[in-house]
Amino acid sequence: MRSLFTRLCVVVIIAAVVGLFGAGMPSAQQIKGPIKIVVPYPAGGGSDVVARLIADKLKDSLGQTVIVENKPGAGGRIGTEFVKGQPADGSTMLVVNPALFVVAPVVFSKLAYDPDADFAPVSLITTYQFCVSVPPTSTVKDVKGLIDWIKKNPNQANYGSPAAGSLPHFFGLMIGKAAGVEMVHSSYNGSGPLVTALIGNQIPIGVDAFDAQSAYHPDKIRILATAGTTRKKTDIPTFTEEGFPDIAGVGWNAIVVPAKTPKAVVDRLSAAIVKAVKAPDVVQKIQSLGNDAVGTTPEAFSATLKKDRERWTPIIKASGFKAE
Amino acid sequence: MELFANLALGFQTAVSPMNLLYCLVGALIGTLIGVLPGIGPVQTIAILMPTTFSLPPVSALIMLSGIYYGAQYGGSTTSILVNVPGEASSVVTCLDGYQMALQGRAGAALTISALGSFVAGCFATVVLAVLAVPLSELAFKFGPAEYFSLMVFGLIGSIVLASGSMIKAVGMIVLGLLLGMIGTDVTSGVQRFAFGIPELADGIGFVSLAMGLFGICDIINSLEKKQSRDILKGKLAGLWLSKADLKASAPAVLRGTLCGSLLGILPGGGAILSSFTAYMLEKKSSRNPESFGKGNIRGVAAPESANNAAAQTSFVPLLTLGIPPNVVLAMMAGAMMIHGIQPGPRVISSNPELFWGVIVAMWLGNAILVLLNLPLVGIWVRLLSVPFRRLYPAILLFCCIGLYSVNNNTFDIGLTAFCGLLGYIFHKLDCEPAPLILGFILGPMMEENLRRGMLLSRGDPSVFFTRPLSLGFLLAAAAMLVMLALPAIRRGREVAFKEK
Repeated sequence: MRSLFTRLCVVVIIAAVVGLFGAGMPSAQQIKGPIKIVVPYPAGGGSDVVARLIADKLKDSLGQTVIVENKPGAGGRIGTEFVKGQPADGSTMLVVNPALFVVAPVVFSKLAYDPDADFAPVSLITTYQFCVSVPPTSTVKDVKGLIDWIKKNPNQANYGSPAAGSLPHFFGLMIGKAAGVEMVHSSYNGSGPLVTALIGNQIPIGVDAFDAQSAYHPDKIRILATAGTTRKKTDIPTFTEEGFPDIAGVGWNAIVVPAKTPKAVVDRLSAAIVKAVKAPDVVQKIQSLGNDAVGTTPEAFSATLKKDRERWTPIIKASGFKAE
Repeated sequence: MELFANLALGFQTAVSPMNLLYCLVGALIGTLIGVLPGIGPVQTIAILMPTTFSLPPVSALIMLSGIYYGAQYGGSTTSILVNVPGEASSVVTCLDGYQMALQGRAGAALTISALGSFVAGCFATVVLAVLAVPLSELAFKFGPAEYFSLMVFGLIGSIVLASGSMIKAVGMIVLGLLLGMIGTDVTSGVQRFAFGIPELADGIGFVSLAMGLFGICDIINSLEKKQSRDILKGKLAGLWLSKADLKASAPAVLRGTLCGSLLGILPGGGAILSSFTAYMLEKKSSRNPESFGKGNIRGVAAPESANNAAAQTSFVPLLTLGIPPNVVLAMMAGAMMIHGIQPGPRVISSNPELFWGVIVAMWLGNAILVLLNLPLVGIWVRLLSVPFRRLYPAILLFCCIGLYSVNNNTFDIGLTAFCGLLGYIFHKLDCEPAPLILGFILGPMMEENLRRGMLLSRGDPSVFFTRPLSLGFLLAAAAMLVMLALPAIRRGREVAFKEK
């Protein structure tokens, strides 16, 4: 009887001790669930699809429920501001892109968030390339031909982009610069209307993400070149191959967390995300969307962010574009 | 011959027990959320999308499209019964449908909207199957000049929507245009009238505006007059249509169907434009236009047929070109991408069973919907006998849930309350909200295309007159303006005004 009592006491004490210490110990490794990935755009868009693919994999590797929450509005700024105020314990992640972290700080005088002070980088998940295209009936066949055409017809040199202040908008400026002509920019209300305008020959030049136009090449839209180091399609050269190495730049989607999140948690999330992004079925699905699966450490993402700011900021400033 | 082979392939795909089940589930969910004010297909598809990941792509698309056109069926129910438009395209249905309900003819209004939608759905499905590819070319003929002229035509036509003073109607259109200016300017990317509020950077939400001006405003009005809704109790007879109703509405259904099938193909607000246009067409062609807005059954039949036909044909640009013409279809494009199908011109050749399967499932879905909805008419009408003091808190609650789910943001709920107050003031001033809504929708599209047209022509306005389609719309608009100014018609309008 007594021995049983003693044994019980021992068990209780051990349990209590383990419980006490156990509760404190794993916080660096175990992330409190459910984990949210906030997509600051409506459901069904490119970054939403990528987030959902990853969420599905993270569920297993983090051992927590991972949900995707859409917080659309103001070009992604509402969702970004929302995540800034969320607990910094790894339970809330945010999908960001150059529009939010590179362009917005330059073109808004009062931005409700500071990309560096309010957020900690986790991982760059996908990249996508920009392309320049012409209607299928156009006489222009390649980038050199396009530059010549712009030089000869400066009064018709209009180009369309999916939105004012988007990276394709600024990317188009680089093409004008190469021709020495200030092209007129017309922004469309998204990629769909731009594609329609190009197919219908309503605008002579279009600049957009490659994946928004690749399905229409070559019958409906003629893509002349893509930016980036390698070809996306065997019959479409890169700007570098065509002799314009200065026309460059890629877009990306990346994951960040609120700034005060402990480094150990960030690293654990980053590792899990890299593993998810590099899973063969995810890689294949991301490729079928026209994007490239990447998956980097927080440090590598920081470096890309810094390089992109150096590339785009002078172009954006030179364009005189302001959002207010 | 090829068409029959294709349709046979479609039937093979769609009539499998599993796909029939998803078609039924989609149509049912669509009807239900259409009936709940504020919760539209956009939010529902967003919520349900993850559950479709595990389905084969054809079943997923069949279910999602069922939700979409099911909501078009159900959306009219709240417009007619409680004056709350669940969908942009059912705003017009409020005008005469709600009046019919107040006169105790809710059953007839609901029945004609279900039957009209069915006829329109069948016709539009055939259009989709036969003409999808050639029709998709139509959208390419529309450059900025054509869009601008079409909007001018629509705006001038919208004066017809008002049944009262013309000056007030014009005033409301202009106010709608101004409200439409709020938000980020598409051309320059600059925010206008947003006052530093990020939620206003995308402009005033359409759902907030329509729900406030119609639904919330009407609740305030009803609470003010204590007995207004009790009139309904006595007169609930007549669920079915009378012969006169059928005779009046059959041609209206056909006109609405044609109108919707054509306009649905245009990217950007085709379904909304089509229901407005169909209504205007009916009112203009009627021998006594003053009966519109007072419970004319043609005012329900035409726009309801039009919005359903447009909902079907709006699949044309998505399935043939991969260009989603509205938000719901943009989400469907997202769903296709998740399943590894890049929406675009290659869908027909690379996934024929998907393309034809979805088309056949649409027709089956329409049949299911009419079978589902006709027996429900009696139940919906009985809802009206619930005392209003019990009904309105429920309506408000559903409105709030729906509004929150649009952007997961409470700002929209506050905005709707404000629009409700605004609507109450308009009501007191005898100003009708429908022209304002049309100005609000058409204004930004008109401005965007005017500026794009001018930008691309480097400031030369002649583009609007030298392109034949554009010139045609402008001439039609001018003709309409002359008609409105003709003394005979003006006298007719004044009489209508005095009768009020």
